[in-house]
Amino acid sequence: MLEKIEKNINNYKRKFDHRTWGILAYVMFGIALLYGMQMANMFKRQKQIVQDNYNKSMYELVNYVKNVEVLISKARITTTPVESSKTYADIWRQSNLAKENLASLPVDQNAMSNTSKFLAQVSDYSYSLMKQTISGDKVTDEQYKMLEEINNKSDEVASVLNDIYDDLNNGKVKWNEVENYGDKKLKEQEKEEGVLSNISKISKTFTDYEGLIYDGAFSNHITEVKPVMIENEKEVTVEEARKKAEEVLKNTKDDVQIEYIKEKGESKGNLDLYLFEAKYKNREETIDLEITKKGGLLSLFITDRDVKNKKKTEKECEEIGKEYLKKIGIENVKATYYLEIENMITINYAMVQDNITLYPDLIKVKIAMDDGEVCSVETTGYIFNHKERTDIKPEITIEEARNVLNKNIKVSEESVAIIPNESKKEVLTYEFKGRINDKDFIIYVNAKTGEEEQVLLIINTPGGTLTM
Amino acid sequence: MKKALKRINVMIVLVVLLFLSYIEFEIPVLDVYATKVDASSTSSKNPTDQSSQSDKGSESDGGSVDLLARVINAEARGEPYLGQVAVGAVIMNRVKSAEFPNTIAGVVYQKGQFSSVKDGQINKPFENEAQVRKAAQEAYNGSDPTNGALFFYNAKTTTSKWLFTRPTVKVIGRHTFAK
Repeated sequence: MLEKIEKNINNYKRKFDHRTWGILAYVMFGIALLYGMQMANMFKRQKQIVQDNYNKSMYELVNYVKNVEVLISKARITTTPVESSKTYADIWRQSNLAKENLASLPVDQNAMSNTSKFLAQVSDYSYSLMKQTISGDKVTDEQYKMLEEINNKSDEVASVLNDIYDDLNNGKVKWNEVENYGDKKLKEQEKEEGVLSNISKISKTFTDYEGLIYDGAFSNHITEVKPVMIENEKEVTVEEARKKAEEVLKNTKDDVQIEYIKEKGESKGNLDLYLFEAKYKNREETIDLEITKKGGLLSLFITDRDVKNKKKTEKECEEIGKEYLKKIGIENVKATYYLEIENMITINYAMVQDNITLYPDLIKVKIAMDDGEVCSVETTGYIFNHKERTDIKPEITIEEARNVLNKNIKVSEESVAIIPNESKKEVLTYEFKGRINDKDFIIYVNAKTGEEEQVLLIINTPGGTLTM
Repeated sequence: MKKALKRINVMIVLVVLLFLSYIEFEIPVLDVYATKVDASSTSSKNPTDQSSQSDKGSESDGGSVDLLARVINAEARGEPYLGQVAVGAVIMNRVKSAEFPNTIAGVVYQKGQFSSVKDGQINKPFENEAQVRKAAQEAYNGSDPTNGALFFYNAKTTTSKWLFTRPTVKVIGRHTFAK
């Protein structure tokens, strides 16, 4: 009897064990399965959304490029200014959109850089043509030839994109594979085929087109610009450059104690530079200096520190900066703009020649507002653009220029200035600062043609002030 | 009878699970990189920054500089000031280049360009905000310590051989800058 009960209990125990373990295993398995399925679904959905976006970009890219091709053909046969400028505006817009869509594809930057460049240049070339036709100038034969060239190129681009388009339609394009390209997960052979190689193929056809376009912000003569000021200077030695660096640091404030200035090698980029690292005594932060090899000019000097309070006013800082620039050999400057951030003030100075403000020759000085120490100087604008300007005679009088302005504007200040246009060409202008409907504007009127060259609305950003 | 009861129990459990699985769980993102970098940069962290920053932090002067500051914060945390300006300058150089998108947001969010965008680092809170913001503004104003570089990489961790083929312009902190 007792045995029977014991046996029963044991049996029951075993049974219970089995059952709980069984249920537990079942439940665990269920959780894992459901969670897994759920995650897999979510992943699929997300992936689909991403892929759809890529596909959309691709379709749009193909369409825009095709449109550009058609529009360029159209531009060559339209003759009336209104129609032509409309066409150019359309090319400008569509090629811009094409570029935007290209950039949102998960394609290696490397593979599409030339295509992107092409689209950017087409876009701004047509922009400059649009402006030209609007102002009444006919498109020249040379410019037509250029359009022809661009048309041929966009033909090629469109045909390659068409292949991709077909693949896309047949569902052959797998974006995740394209994305993996960067991770080197694909075999060599796979890299040779598919979207990616197609897009790089476009890039390869561009070698002969380099340097064709001369107008617009992205034209080659802008992207490969030369430093005008020092181009013909001779190279200085490291020692001379070091002396310059010392001069630069010595004047940053009274009683500067330099602990060391050591060479940090050279840099070849837009400018050929000697690099230096320096340190003040009793200061932890290091200072970086760049001196141009040619001419031994200061290109950049940069350091940072905490500035707790503001003891100097903007005006005082403006003077400090001016004095400082004089000490390091840059004279005739005028403060044009300043911006305050974290108790540091960055002042933009422009060079002045015969009372003409040379906006392209820009120098930036950052000053700590507690004790007026000069913390950074940047002179690339100055180095790249500064020269004695020769063509500075306005052809229209300031009264004539004033007549161009909107009649409601109250002019508070006027002067002569050289400003860069989109293609970084310099334009001699009359500069008017004025107010209309409680908004401040600066208007530049071309001093040769009397056209409005640029209209700037002054937006008061916190800490930023325009001085004129 | 017992067996049937068991079945019902299991069914109930399954139904409950099914419901549970529809609730959206927030999936924790692994953040190995961040902790690694944080450890190295805490030494340069300045506790006084926060106090001097608090009033200016909410001020935003145009989203572009803010975005630039975010990328600098994510890509160049614990770097020297110059290195931070340099990262910002690379982005500005790309905006100016025809080969890249024409806006800061376009450049930053271009596919596969910045690891900090891919892994969500870009949304990390600021560390040493005052310095990062100054660096972003400095780069935005046009200071370019990279001498025209379009790429930068950490020579120790990068796997892309292609990057090594680009002419190096400069090395600042842990980053190599290339054209």
